[in-house]
Amino acid sequence: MTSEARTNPSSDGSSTRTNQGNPLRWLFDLFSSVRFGIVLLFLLFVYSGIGSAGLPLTYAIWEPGAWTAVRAWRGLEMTEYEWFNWWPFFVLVALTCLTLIVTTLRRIRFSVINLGVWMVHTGLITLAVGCVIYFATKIEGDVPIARTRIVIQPAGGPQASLRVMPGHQVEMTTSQGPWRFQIIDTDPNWELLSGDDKGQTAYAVKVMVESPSGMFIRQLLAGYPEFTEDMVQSNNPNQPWARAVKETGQYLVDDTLMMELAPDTQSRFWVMDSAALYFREVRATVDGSYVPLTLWVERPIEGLPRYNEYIELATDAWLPTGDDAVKTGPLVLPVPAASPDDPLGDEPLYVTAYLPYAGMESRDTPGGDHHNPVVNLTLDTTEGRQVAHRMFALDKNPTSPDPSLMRFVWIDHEDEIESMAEARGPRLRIGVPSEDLLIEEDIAGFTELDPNAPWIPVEGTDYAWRVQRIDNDIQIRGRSLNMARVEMRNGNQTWLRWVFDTPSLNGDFPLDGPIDAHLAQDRQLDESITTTYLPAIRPLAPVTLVAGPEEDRLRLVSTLMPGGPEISELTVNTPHSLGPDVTMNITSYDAKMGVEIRPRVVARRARQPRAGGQLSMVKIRLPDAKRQAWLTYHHYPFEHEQDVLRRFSYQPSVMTMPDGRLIEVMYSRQSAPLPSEVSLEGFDVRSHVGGFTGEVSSVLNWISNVRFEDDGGEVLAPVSVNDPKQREGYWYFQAQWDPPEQATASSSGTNGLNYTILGVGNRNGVWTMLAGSVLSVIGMIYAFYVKPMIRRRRAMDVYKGLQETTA
Amino acid sequence: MRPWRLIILCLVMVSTAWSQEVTEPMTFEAQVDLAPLNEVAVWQDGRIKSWESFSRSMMQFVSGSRKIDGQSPAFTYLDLALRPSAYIDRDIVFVKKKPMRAAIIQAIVETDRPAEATDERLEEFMKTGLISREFILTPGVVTLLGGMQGDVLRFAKPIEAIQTAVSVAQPEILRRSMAMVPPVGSDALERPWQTLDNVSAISTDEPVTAAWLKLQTAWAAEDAPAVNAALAELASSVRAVNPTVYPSAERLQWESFYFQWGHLTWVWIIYLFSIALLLMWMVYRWRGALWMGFMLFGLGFIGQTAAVMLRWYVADRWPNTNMFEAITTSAWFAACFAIIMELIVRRTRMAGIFALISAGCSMVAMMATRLYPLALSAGISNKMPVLHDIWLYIHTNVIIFSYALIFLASLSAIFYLIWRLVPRGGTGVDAWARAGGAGFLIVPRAGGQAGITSARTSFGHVLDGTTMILVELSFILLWAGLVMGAIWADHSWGRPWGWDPKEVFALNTFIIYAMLIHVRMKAKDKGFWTAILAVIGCAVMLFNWIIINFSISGLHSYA
Repeated sequence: MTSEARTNPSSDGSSTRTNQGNPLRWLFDLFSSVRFGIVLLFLLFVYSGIGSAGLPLTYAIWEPGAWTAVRAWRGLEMTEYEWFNWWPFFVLVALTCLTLIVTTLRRIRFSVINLGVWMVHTGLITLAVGCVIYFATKIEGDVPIARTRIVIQPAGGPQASLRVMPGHQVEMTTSQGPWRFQIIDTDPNWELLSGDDKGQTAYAVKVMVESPSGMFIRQLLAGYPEFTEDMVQSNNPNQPWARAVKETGQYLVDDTLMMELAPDTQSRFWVMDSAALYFREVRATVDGSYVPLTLWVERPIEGLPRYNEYIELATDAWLPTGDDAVKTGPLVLPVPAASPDDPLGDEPLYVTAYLPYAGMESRDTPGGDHHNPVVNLTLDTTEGRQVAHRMFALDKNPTSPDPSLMRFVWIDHEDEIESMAEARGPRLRIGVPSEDLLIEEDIAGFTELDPNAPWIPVEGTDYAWRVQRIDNDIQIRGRSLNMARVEMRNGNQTWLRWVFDTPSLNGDFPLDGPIDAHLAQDRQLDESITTTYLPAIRPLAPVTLVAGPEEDRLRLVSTLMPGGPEISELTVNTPHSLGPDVTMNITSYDAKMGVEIRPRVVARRARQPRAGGQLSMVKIRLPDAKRQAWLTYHHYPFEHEQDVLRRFSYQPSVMTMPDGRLIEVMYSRQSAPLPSEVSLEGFDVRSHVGGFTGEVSSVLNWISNVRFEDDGGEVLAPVSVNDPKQREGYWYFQAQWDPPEQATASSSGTNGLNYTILGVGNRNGVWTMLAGSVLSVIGMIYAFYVKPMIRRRRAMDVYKGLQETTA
Repeated sequence: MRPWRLIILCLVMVSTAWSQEVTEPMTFEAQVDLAPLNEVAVWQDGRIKSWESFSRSMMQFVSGSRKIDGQSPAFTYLDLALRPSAYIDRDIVFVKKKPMRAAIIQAIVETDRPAEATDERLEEFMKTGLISREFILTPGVVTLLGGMQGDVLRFAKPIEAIQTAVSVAQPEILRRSMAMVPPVGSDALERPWQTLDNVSAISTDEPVTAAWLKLQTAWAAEDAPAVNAALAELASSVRAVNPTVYPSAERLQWESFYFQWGHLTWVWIIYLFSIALLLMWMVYRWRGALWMGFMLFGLGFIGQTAAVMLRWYVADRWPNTNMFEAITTSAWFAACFAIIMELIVRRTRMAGIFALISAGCSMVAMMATRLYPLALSAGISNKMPVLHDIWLYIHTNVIIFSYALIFLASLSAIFYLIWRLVPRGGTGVDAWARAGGAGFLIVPRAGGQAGITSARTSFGHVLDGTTMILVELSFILLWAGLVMGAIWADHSWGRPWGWDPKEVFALNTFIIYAMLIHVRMKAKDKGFWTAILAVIGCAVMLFNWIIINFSISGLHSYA
């Protein structure tokens, strides 16, 4: 800042001959040196730049992969917040402030002309003081709050409380028998059709109740308990569930069953970028689940790495290899008890491994004693293409690339393969009503395997057909369907038909056009030829590899050729023809394998940059040094499965203590108390023109109506984007929400809006920071614009005086 | 050759080319009159757009900024949707990255090379980036893209773009996106618009359905007169469904005009000529060049102002919520500032400098939007919820204005450095404005004249004074903008400062400027170090705006 310096022995403040023997004077001179100030500014620039952007690894600095984050290096492992809360930064800022103070006091005379620079320097020091208060006391995190909980109590039975979330369920037993309650649907915009608030909307919850005396659905409306009513099964096929009042004359099927909606009150929040372990004692039940005996007890983990892999041995995890290899290092991090209620007592346990991006994966390793037949094979075409496959006979999930074409099974008895030989392969039933024709034909070849597979004529008609592929056991909305994709021809016209085992689902499509789910809705069907797919009874696929019953025996059951299944022996490294164009070669076969479960470390280049620590894992070792467990990260340590919010996980691990106790463990974040109890009264999504369509770009705002309860009373306040609310020194701001989800083949979808997540944080010192900032801005304006005017006025006065004198 | 002769020669060449072009037979596209669509609205992602704006944004997903056979995006969209067979095996999918183009070519050549994949076509693909969907869907390319997708850092986005292009180009998707029929009823503003296909499926005797069927039939038959009649019928019938919620024809026409005329960013050419003339004034002190330069600058400014105002009107909000808007509005601020400064310094040796550097700033900004149409997309979209705040206008405008001034300061600093390189008597070390920027304008030197008006003032003095005027104002605005950003962040994200990379590098730009001001106090060659640090400050600002935005993730990625 330009200023008029006081007369000083050294204009730049450096040491002179007169102060060489006086260290204090030397220090004063140093801290009033403009050059020293410039050096400090340069160091601040370098420190900030390296901490924020990192360092470039290549000249192509515009490529996202060109930058390495220095703060994420092994040994540093800092977030941006931590990098700027580290002592080197504090030292730099402190030295800068000291230089500002000493320079201002020693070298800038307090005068009207220098008022600007005084204000700027004072403002910056005030800002620094505010920052010290702010960052020294800063705590920030988030709290999830469900729209509501549901409390359930059958007559004479226990009480259960669960967060309202589609799919949540609870079972209980009373003297009447077993009960099961499942939340099947929620609707955030249920329109009221009667009452004083007719036309308004309310949050509706539907619960499927399976009681000892029957099944019914209970519907509850948040804020309108008087409108609670049941629905029962009706005989009307167009409306399988009808209002109980219409069927029975009563609104409630069982008025002794208490079900009511209650607020989901929260009194703690979870701290950003923190880590903690949670423990509680549990007991095992007969069905293999665990029932908590105590509440979670927290052990904060301090100093947990964030960005790099730390494991004891390379064999502790499945590590990526080659170009994707990651460096690993050792870790022994003690985690002491922080609560007298800790079920592990005072003994410390240790975090012995940390993986920032991993997931558990089981792999088969050769040479074990575990019965797990595995075959490696290649399929070679006459055109020179080769595809390699690895299949497991006992894997529940199909390991073949296309299970409808090729499978691998194990048999314990020889008669199993004999029954396979007797069984028929897949067939197609074809009917041409105009010709009064109905035939069944074996499906023998597939155009996906042999593009030149011949067309099979339907005798007596112009129709012909051939099969592209078959797909068995397709799961669609809970139904298992079997389908053949059949190419149809009638004269010159060809088309593709999806032929199901349920003919009403059949559909015709252009043979070369794109086929996806939406087309299925618009399908047309040529009714002049009917088709039904009859899946094979056994064997399982056109090419079935059969291992057993002897360990080293491997056979092929093929239905590719007409004339029924064909069984042949297979030996390793002996090519076997599967048809005119394809040859199969077994490269290895083992009946016994080892199985090992380890975390699989995802290659760095395949990681989602924004995943943060959400996919991290830690390995803990109990004090007895024998028990170890890998734990996956949980964003929130939910108390039980009925508290879990959609899109968050709940997978606690159970460890057996030397004294026989079962301890459940979870890896999550540290918690902190909220000064107020908070609950969600309502949640609203405002949209742009055209309404809320489920797309974020049409959202105008999210509004959480939050109820705060504390010593100051009870307050209901809307919290929305750009409109946080302050309560007892903490700010609450809208952070996340529960978006709707479209129904898919594997999920029924939800209307969403079942919970909100509020950001929570304190903000001590912001007014000091603001005061300093405003003062510095005023000072800059003064220094750059007011000061020149003062200097001009003074200069003009001088020239005027000179002119008068000359005159 | 005199400039006017050159201009005449160019005009003659263009007119000759035009006359040759018009003699060619009329294509179907040339016969189709899409003018009625300029008054048609389409609902997309919570916004009602003109057909022109909508079709451009959709076609950008498919073919980037490339035109298919020189057709307008509005025509290509309809043609793809209504005559899809014409686009089988046509190069319409844009692949942006050249290394990816090379990898795709290799995959096509090495595995199952279709007969249509001739060397010439693959070479053309390498050049233009356009490839057919059929080539993308060959097994070799599918396998290649699937393998590359695992590398999320480098390839996830470009591969997603290719998949999106292939998907969007499907006629079903294009037809399903044509939400052109407004809802009716009292809550029409809150209900989604319907597609033409949906309306046709529900009701067969509505005028919209009839017009839509006519259009489909005529288009498939390439019957241009029938197409034109059906388009006019469709335009009037969709508006008639619910005129109260339908945007005004004027608004839609202006929006269409805005996009058809390339968002007026071609104004950079006018600024280019203005720069040439103003440079002539600076070097040769030819007064005629100054006035001609001013005139062209004024013309460019009128075009630029029209672009900003038009976008304001069309978007129904001040244009500062994405990179395109931030850059163009920032340059417009610079131009406004230059005009004010030129009025202040009109009788001084500083005349013409602000216009020159501001023309440079606007030219660079508008050229950038044309060179990088995907990164700096001109599409108008809704604001993110967090941007609905008064501080968006205060903080963002102050910051982008300061960025514009920092850019201007670097240009005048570069001119200063060039001036120092020109051999003359003396080193030029004493060429610096003693009283700072604003002081240079008003504080008298020995003799009673301000530095700017003093006859003894060298051109180096003038350039250094210009730099300092800009440095001082941008120093205040940048700091004030940072403080305002902190106030906004405090109530939107719950914390005033989060050490986000964008925040940190804005602070770093300020630190460079703070160094500049203090180095100026101590350095012997003040003018030189001022210029060097002004250029470095601009580099840090551009690093923040470009590298941090596009390569290093942060909270400010929208602008």
